[in-house]
Amino acid sequence: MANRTTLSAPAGAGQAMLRVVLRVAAIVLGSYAASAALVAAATTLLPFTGVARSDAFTLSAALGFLVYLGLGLWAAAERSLVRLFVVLASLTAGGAAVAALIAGGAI
Amino acid sequence: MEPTFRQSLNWLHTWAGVVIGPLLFLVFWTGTVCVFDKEIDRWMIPQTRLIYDGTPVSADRLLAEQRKLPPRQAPWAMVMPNERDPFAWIAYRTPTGFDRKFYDPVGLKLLPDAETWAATRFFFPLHYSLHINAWDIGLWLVGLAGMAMLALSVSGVIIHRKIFADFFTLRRSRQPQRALLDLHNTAGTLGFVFYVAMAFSGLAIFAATYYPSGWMAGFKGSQQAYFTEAYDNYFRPPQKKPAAPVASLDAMVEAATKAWDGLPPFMVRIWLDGDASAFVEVRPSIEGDLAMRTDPFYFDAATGALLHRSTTRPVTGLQQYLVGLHFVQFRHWTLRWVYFALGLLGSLLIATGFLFWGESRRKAHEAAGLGGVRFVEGLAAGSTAGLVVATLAFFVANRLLPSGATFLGGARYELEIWVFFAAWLATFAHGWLRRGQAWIELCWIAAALAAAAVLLNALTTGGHLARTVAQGQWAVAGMDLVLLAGAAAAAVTAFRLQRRKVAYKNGRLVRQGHEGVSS
Repeated sequence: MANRTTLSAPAGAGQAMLRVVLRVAAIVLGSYAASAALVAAATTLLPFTGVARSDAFTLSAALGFLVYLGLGLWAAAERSLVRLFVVLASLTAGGAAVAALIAGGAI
Repeated sequence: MEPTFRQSLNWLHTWAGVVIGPLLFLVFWTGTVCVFDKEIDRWMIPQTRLIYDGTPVSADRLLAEQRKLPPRQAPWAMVMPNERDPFAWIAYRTPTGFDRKFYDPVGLKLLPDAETWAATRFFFPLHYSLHINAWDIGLWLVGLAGMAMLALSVSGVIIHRKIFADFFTLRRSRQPQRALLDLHNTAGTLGFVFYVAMAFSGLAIFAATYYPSGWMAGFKGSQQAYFTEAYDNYFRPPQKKPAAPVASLDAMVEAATKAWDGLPPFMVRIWLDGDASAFVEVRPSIEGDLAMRTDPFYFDAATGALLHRSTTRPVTGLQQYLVGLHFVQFRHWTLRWVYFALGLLGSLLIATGFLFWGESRRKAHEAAGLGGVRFVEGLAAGSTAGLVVATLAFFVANRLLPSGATFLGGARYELEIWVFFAAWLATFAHGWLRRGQAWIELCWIAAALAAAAVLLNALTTGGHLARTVAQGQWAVAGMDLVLLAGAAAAAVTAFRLQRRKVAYKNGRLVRQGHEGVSS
């Protein structure tokens, strides 16, 4: 039962459908949320290296699309839905925390 | 997800393609049409079929013309003529949107209003926002399509191991499924870099919309603050006191032109017109450079003194290259045709991918009694060939509707748009009702509409090919020639599809006959 989260595993039709829905949500929404949080973090972090704030955001946003793409492709292939959601949630929370702390003046 | 990485990406490629396919085709097709947006405008707005010889237009004289118009809300802008837009125009905001007044570039005579949205106001916004402005839903949907295009491109490369073999594999197979896949793979490999570049640069244009998280964190929630810093925009608050007369705009344009090494002006905009704080923004022509640089100069309207010269930041400059790459505003006819050809190839890529999905599942689904293939086939016909038919119907409507026409409260320009959407909807219905015949019939309809558009253009404007070519009206002549080439291509496709259908039927009849004998 190593493949418990794959569609090919013996499971009810309802459960299989739920997994597809979760998978699609991870690809479309989860990967976007993680990339958006990382864009916010990079926008607040890059100015510490001497980059202007506007340049920091322009650059981060352009790279954000590539991060979204990479995460989305990985989300389609990663077997474990649990690992998928843990990684995406950590990136989102981590990025948002960094951005909030710096933007809020805590760092 | 699936047992291997490649199989997972195959799953993603298949389903993202089928679900986003219609939207993606819409974006690609309208983008391709907009490569020649100004030329389509000339064709659809006959009063602007002028020839501009490059003589600079006086901004002061244009200002005098503007003062004859009913008072407008500031800011308003005057845009200088160029080869593709051979007229000067004044653009101003209205309570419901924005409007334009055209002037001939020699005598600055006011030209009749455009009674159409043509390409620059209909196809262009359709390309990036689907004309759905509420909550930027259209922008987000197109952004999703752009991300899907990137994901489809990358996954497409990974799932095709024999990418270089595919490059040279275009079998003229009689089996439609095999031929479609070959066509899909060849179109995919040939234009790969273009599709990725267009999808990525398109996303980058609206980066501030797609990643509000960045400017919310970096600019305390103000998108305006980001734009002001990135583009080094200038502004000053109004004084609520009446203004002194505007100083010589031509002198301001000349000062800016000198600083730009002779680059002609593109636009002169007056901010806070009528207020003591009024100031003038002068922007250079963007035709000469790949990057879409704005680099404006700002002058005090009353004294003509330089207030500010914007400088582009390094990363903003990079962004402007991406924007310029996508907007194709530079003057280079060969490159423009290459964009057009690659755009058509991309449309073919999406359409064939869509059709392959149906062809490869038809038998299995029919055997299992599933309706999915039937649904997707109708959707495919309507969203690809149907969109082409709707585009052509839009052109034909433009030449048939008389000036000042209204219907059910719709102005003439709205009627054209209604025709577009009505024709498009009809092709979906047609696709579901006439399954099997739909493609052949849509191709014949497209051929007839394209030929009719050329004929109607000659009849209603007198601008037939012999005359437009002789006069050097290449925008109009080019549009007619592309329409004729499209009509021929559609007719040939319809004819071949029909012949194949007959051959296929006969073949099956022969086989069945043979089986009948042997059993």
